[in-house]
Amino acid sequence: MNIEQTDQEGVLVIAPSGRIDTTTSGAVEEVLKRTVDVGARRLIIDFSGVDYISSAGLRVFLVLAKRMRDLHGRLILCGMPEPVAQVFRLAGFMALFQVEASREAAVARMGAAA
Amino acid sequence: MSAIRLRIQPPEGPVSERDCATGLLTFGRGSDSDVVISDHAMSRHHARVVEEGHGWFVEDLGARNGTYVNGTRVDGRQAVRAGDVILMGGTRVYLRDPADTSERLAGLDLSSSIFRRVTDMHGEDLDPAGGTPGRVAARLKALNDFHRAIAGPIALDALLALLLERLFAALHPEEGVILLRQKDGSLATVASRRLPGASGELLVSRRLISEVVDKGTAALVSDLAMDDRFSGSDSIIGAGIRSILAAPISDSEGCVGMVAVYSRAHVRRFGEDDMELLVSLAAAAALRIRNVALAEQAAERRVQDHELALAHDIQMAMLPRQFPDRREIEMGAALIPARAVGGDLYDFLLVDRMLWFIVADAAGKGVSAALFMAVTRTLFRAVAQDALSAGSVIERMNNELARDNERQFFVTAVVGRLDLVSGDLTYANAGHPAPLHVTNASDTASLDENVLAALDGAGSGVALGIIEGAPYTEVRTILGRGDVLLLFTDGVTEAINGRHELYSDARLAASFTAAATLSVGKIVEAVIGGVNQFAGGQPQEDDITVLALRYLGASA
Repeated sequence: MNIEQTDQEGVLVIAPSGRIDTTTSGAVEEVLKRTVDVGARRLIIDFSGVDYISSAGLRVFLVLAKRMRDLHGRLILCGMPEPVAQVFRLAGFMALFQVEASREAAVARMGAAA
Repeated sequence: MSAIRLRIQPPEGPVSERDCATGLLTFGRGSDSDVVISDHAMSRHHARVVEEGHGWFVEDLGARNGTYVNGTRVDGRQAVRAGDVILMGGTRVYLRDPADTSERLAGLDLSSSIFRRVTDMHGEDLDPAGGTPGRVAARLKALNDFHRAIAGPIALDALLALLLERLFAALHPEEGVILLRQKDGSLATVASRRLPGASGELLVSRRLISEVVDKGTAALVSDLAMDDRFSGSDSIIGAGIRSILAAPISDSEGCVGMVAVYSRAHVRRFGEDDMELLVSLAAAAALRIRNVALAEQAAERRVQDHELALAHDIQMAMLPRQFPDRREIEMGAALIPARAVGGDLYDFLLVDRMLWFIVADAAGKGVSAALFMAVTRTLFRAVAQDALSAGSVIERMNNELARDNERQFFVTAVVGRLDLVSGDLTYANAGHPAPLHVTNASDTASLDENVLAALDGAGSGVALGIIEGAPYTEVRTILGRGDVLLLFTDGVTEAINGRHELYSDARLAASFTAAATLSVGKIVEAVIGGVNQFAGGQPQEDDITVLALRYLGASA
């Protein structure tokens, strides 16, 4: 599990890689929590490096989405490989997120909304 | 009449010694004082020490900051003797008996104390010059006895108490204390012992700890009981100088703590041979302390494991083993948690001719998931009891779970209701893998004619607990005589083999279809057997649940 953070045109892009499961979701949750704690309100999560996400991993992004809604921030998910997208879809969570195909599209959409 | 020697320690500058031969010494900043000290907290004429009759006295000369003896302010004039400490401003004056040759310590303050690297001391024999041969023999025996006493099984508390007991027997301190490093890295007092009637409290200064624990040195220190806590307390008047002996408790892996003994200097003053004995005892204790601590951690873990095993049993007891004894149906199920406890659930409830059933999967693993699973089961039973449809059951469960769900725990579930008389099946899906349906499996001769279909997830809604008021679509179908339903959790389809491949929907469908004509018990066995064979000993990542239900038609 590696979590890369990039500031791209005033938007923070967080790109975890590897498996997001019970073992690793705690670390991802901590990074996301801290990021929002220090003031990030425009977040993009790039899933292109994620091989697998479990229900524990899904929960982390539900918590993040809820918090961003409460803070009137914006959150866009992007770059989901099919297995990851399927887990979001199966649990019925796709509709809870703004999802874009690529990081570029996500940044563009974030910019358009700003 | 007795001679007295004064050791003068100003706040800055060198320490000096004076014998008071004339029977009178005045102290102050003023140049006309006998002892002139540049200490801004001192008055020009601060105090004087005078000999009178057979004793010595200190007189305060109206100094602005006062004069203190052993921490107590002098009111005019007070008798003093060797061992006392006079504080004038920031300057300390230690009174000593110049005839006291037993005192092998040159200095009485921390700066002139003795620190020795413990690693330089190990392997040394106790120095016979440190005492009479009888005393040396007694100490060797003390060390040997201690080694023997701690060789067997012993609890940490008992080990620490024993160490203190032996230290008291060999070194005769007034007080002893053991500090050990805690899990959070801090040092805490874990054992202490004091002579009956001994006053005060061993104050282990940070400076001393740093010298002993961080640098791995043994220390022989004389210090002043000048702590604020002591001032004004009559019971410690005369406490004066304290003699402190401290050694690190360390083994090859590092320092785990410190042991220190203390005595008022006029009661007992420790020497270098005492220091060597303390170091030897501490070293003997160190290895055992680590072993005992590890053993106690292991015991703690065993208690936790036992608790988890109990939790496992409680959770498993929530799952029905007995299925309804009805001619219209056959049911079988199995749940294999990945850890001691898990988040998967299956359950059913028979209300008149309606069979309610649920298979669910709470997010995550372990205790939090297990608690959420238990809540889900309770809700299912409460809500299904008087519900009219599967859709309303799942909506009510969702609303209950979503309320105040800050941590966003969720559970995916399929809830179904089968009318045992008509075969009418309604079900609703909250983010769960769609159940599989094999049509007419027992009536046809050939498996090829069985039709497998997923009870479509098109009607699937969001997992339970996330969106209060979320709508769920109820789907309806009719089960024919001999149809088999298979409900499962994603622990089945997402089981992984050595090549990181998923078991997959396709493999599950094939395994289920192949077993569909068997009894439901055998179907469950076959499906789980198939997953295990595929995983080939890879650790199970997620809870695995399988529930099979065959409809045999209305009873004739």
